[in-house]
Amino acid sequence: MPDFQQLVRARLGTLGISPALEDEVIAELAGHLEDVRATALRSGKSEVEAMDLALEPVPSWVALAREISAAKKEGPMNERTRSLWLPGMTMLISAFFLMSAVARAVGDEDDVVRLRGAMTDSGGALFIFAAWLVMYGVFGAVGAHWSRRAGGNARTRLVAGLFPIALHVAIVVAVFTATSLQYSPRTPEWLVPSSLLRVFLTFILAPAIALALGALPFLRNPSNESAPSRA
Amino acid sequence: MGVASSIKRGSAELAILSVLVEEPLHGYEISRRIEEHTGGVLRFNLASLYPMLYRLEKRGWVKASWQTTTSGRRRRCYALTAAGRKQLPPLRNEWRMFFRALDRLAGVARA
Repeated sequence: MPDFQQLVRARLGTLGISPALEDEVIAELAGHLEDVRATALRSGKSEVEAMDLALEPVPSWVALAREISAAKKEGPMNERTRSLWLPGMTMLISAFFLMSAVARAVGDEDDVVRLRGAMTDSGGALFIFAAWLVMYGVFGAVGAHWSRRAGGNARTRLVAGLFPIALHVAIVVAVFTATSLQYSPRTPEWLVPSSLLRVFLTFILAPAIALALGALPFLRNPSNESAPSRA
Repeated sequence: MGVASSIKRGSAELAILSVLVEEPLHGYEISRRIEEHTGGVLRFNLASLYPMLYRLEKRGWVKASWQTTTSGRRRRCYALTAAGRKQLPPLRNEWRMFFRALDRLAGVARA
């Protein structure tokens, strides 16, 4: 059987849309041509006649490419915004509100570093820390699921799920920068290597793992759906 | 857009939405059903069908999803959305009025 995907790709040329979208279009058009050819062969046509029947109705592939391109061109919200930025930023904002709520719950809403200390130093706070991680699992799942529904590929879904970690990195960098700029005769307690490692483990790595675990089930396509493979 | 292309586009929209009311279908099946239901008068091919389907999808009247058939082939199936379903009665009315007007003018029905 002829490679219809290759054939369509060669005839259409570049559509000027995202590569993923272009792959979808090519896979779909190739499938249509395969169907036309198969039906023609079943009705007794020769291979040459069947191929002619499949390809002849397209008077101009250039015009078709232009029409498809125009029809597929992004609206006000492009594919990347729908599948990455929107779910990712929503989860990041949710994570911020959760962090604020947890900070208030342990009585220190301003100092996130002390919050981390409070959370890991006492038994009750350890429970809050665990619940917080579970919520991050949920954020990861919602972000990845949302991205999948919006047509994101596996990598986009994972990044959308992991988005809240950007908030953590930003907080650590901001606190680190602010502390470093302050004049102090001795190194602040949390800037010693062991404290930095603890910050990294509890404030970056653990939430990142929780987010990734939540996102994991949504990185694959549902069993009845599959994205087209790149030719 | 000229009158002829408006009519062509409008009738194509109505044809596609009408067959999708029955059940979700992939592109080739849509063209086959339309040809079958109209006794071969309306025919869609690759060039006429897919740009139209993509426009309908962009408007939110149809929703497409990749599905794997029992034979293992991947197909992009189109289903009518609630918005698309809402469009169908006014579209039908428009066309009914159009044909009545044409009939009054030129006696198309009696020709």
